[in-house]
Amino acid sequence: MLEEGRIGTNEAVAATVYFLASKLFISFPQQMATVGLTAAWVIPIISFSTGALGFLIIAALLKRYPGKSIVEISEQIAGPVFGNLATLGYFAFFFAATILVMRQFSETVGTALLPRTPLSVITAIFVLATLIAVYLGGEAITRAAFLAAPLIVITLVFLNILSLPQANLDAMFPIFGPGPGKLLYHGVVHSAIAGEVMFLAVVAPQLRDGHKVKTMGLIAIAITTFFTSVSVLVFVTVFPYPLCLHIPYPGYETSTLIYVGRFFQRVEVAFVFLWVISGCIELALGAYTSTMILARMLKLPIYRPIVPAVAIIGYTLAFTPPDVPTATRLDFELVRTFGGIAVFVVPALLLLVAQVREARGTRRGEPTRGA
Amino acid sequence: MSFLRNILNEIVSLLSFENPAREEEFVLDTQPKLPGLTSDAPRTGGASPGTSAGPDTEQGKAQGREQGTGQVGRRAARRDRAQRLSAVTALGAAPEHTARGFLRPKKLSAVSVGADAGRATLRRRARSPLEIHGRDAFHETSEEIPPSVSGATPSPKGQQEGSSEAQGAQGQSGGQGRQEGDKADELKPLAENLQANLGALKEVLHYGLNSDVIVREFEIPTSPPTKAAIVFMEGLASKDIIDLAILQPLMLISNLNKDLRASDVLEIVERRLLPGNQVSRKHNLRGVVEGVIAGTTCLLIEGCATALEVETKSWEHRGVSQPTAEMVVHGPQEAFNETLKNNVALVRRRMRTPDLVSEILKVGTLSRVDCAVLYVEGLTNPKLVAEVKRRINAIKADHIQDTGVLEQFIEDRPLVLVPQTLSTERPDRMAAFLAEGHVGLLLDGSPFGLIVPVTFWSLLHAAEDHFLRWPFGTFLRIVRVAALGAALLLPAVYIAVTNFHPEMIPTDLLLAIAATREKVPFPTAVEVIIMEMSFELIREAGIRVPGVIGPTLGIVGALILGQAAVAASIVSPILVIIVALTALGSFAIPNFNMAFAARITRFAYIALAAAFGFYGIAAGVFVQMLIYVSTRSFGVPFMSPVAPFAQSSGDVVLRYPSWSMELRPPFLQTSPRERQPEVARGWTQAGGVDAPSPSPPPVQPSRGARMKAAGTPAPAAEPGPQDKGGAGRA
Repeated sequence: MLEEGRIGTNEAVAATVYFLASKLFISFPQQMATVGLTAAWVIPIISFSTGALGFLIIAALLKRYPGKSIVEISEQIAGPVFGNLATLGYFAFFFAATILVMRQFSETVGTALLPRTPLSVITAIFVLATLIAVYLGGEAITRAAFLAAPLIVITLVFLNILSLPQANLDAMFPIFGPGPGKLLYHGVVHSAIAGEVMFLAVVAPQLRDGHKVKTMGLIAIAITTFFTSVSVLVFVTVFPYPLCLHIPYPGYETSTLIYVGRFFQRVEVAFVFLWVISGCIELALGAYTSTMILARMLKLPIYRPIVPAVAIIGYTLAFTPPDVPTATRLDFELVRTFGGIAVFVVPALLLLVAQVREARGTRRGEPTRGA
Repeated sequence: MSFLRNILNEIVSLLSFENPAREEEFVLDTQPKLPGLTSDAPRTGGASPGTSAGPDTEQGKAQGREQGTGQVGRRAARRDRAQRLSAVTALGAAPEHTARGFLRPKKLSAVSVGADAGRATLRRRARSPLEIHGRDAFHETSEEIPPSVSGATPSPKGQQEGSSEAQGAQGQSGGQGRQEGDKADELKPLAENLQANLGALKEVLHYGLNSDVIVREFEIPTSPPTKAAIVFMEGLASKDIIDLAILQPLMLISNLNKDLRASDVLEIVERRLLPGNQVSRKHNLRGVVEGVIAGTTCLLIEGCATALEVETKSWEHRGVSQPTAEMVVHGPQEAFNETLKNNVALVRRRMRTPDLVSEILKVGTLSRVDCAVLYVEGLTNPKLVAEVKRRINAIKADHIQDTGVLEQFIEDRPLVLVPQTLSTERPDRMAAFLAEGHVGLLLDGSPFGLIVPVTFWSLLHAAEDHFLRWPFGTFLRIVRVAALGAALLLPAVYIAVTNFHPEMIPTDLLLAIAATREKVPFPTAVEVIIMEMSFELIREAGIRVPGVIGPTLGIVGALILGQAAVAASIVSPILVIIVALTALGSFAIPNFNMAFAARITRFAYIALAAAFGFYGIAAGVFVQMLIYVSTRSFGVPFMSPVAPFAQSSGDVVLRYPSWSMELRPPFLQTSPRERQPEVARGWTQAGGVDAPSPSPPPVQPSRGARMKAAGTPAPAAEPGPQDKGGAGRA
């Protein structure tokens, strides 16, 4: 049995919200505007709704195999070969998303806070904080996420409200942007922006109320959908199309425009302070999920020995993109597009196979023992 | 960790007064070369095969025999000693702790005493700690060591298991070098011969050398007279009680039947002739010795293998005074003092329930100090009580002189800065925590008590919060949270803003700061470090300075030096304000240990801010959050009941009205969980305010009861009696 702590319901929901919503503080709104134009705020709604449907499939799998994570379930249904292939797909999604997000966060911090500090140093700090978090375990990360939950809520609320004076609602029109068809297409294709919800499936054995995993996921997606669509809406109204396509750090740029009297201006630094904490939590969750997937796939009794290796590899790969636009494009066009196959399509196939077998009255062998 | 420990051992041994050549004498292995020992003589310390040390003891014996008479290197000797001492429960093992190395007897020699076949006697020379400094003469003890010890003797009631079994009653002779026979002697029943008992007692108590030990032999006027004696410690026992309640009735009463047996005499003396309010029987040497050194008087009677212990404790002690570290405006002004019984009484006065239990445990090997474990039977989770007692009983230290030391031995994570127990000098506070389901610890000789388990939020609470109305209590808590933030982050934020993010500051203020800093030759970070270290120096000096000079030094240090530093352009004026606010913030934290943690963590944030600005501060906050949520206090997550979240009464961050606090803390898993019904103010029920005084209102089912009815998982605590101490009170 893999050494693991226990994660409560509130903590799991808070962690999932952080995992899904922290992308708002990097280039995510800009990417939404790229495909959704003036209706960029509709893309998250469609994507997260699609993601919710995908998560329902995952929840059905978890319900069918209680007490097991998606890794064990995949191996049990698809066998060791295809099951491990599926697991590698999950790992690739989470790991790639984590390192690209880490690169984007580092670039954001470097641009907003520390322009003269080498990027490697900034990234190293992130990696160090993430390393400590993963070492302390999922219990600590999720509790920290719950403890800091008011931070992200207050940040988003204040950021959006205080930016409203600069918003121009006319920029919302045309209301359907490139058209409903294209909106639907891009929303579904990029549904992997909700892929982090699979975190609940990875840590399912650790959930204190495992039978409520479906509720947890749906609540987290609902909260994230609301905040994400509102934030993107504020962004495209503050920076009307096509200006919004050229804002690499939407949140930062939006916060620079906040002006509430002489003493409350140029407060973007305070927001970046909160974003850094959000970024640390997201990266910690991503690294932890990747590590746990790997540990379960390798049937390790404990996961901590592989944490330094994962951290070093992630740190190295984070510098693979030559610049932040490349990293952003890789994240949005590669990970958030094809990643949906790994996190939603593969579990759907697994569920189909499981149902077919059940209909035929056969189950595959002995239950795979989780690492 | 063992590597670092060994390094430290090396350094300390180099700096110590020990002669390295005599290191081997410290090692029990070398006893075979000492004259008088037979091959069967046990060579390891006091643990018997039947103790919890078990196989290790046997292993230690085997090692001792293997090494024989050969010279062992210092490092090898230390390693061997570590292995054996880890199995020797009698030796107060944390054997690697170099600080205690100075207090152990260093030299062993063996002289055969007596000609009892099959027995070996080892006369030890116990070096007192004074010798390290003053080269005082040795004092000797001699004990008989049987060749084998047949298993552990069960500890008497109230004594701890395992480690304490072999802890000698011979407190002065130290823990190191005890033989297995010590344990047998300590538990050896008293002899029927009075002189034999007196001889053993005199030897143990160093009668003759120890001027405090008083032995008064007399005769009880039976026919023929029965010899008797009392043993007590002058200064610890009340002479008036001895004279009036022991000697007088025994020496002046006559008409005892000449045909009485010794046991009959004992019975009559105990039941009819000793008017002491506490009289107990002691059957072994250790019980007598422990009683004498605690201040009781022991009566020995010829022909009785039982001693009578009469409560005669009386010594000069400080009275009940005001608290020094937890002063309040509105609330009781009593504080604990150094006498355990007084402290327990102070708590008992406030918790008028027969279920308040005060268990006394002995802590320490050299000096066995009483430690009271307080809890409410039927309310407190038995698992928590068992865990507390388990940790205390497992302490292997020579002397625990204060609860601050005790705290360090029982906390979960010693390396974490934040405290995992709550130290208080207020009996009302301890009573309040006991009523919630915590466990309290009091140590004889310490004016501070400990509360376990504790959470982060409790460390920010003060006693006064509950004595004030809820808006004021809530306001004070918000102030304290802000104070904690200021104490931790204010200097770091100042450095980050001035060095990395000056655009945050309004232009006028920025110009003012720039103007004041123009002549300062140091970078901001250095300036802050200078001021912070100076303030820490002033604070520390203020504690040590004599009382008369204290206020003067405060004024000199804080005002004049600060003003002089500003005038000399060493620091900027705004930094003086920053440092002052930071200091006030740390003073506003109610818990002393928590304030200390904030003071130390502050420097880490200063370093992070100097290097990475707000980014460093954010990373530091994240890591600190992680450390806090992963810390536990006796198994309870440190950030409970926020993370992990659990429903609780409104007494976490804010303070809700007292009449709405219906639930006890969820992490304590008490039984029952409810402390008062949903409508605690019964007068608000039937008839309204002007109604005549109603009969006791019906108890409304509380939220907790409704939760249970709805099928919410019940707490994991063992079921206890209901309605204890809380539920039903209006």
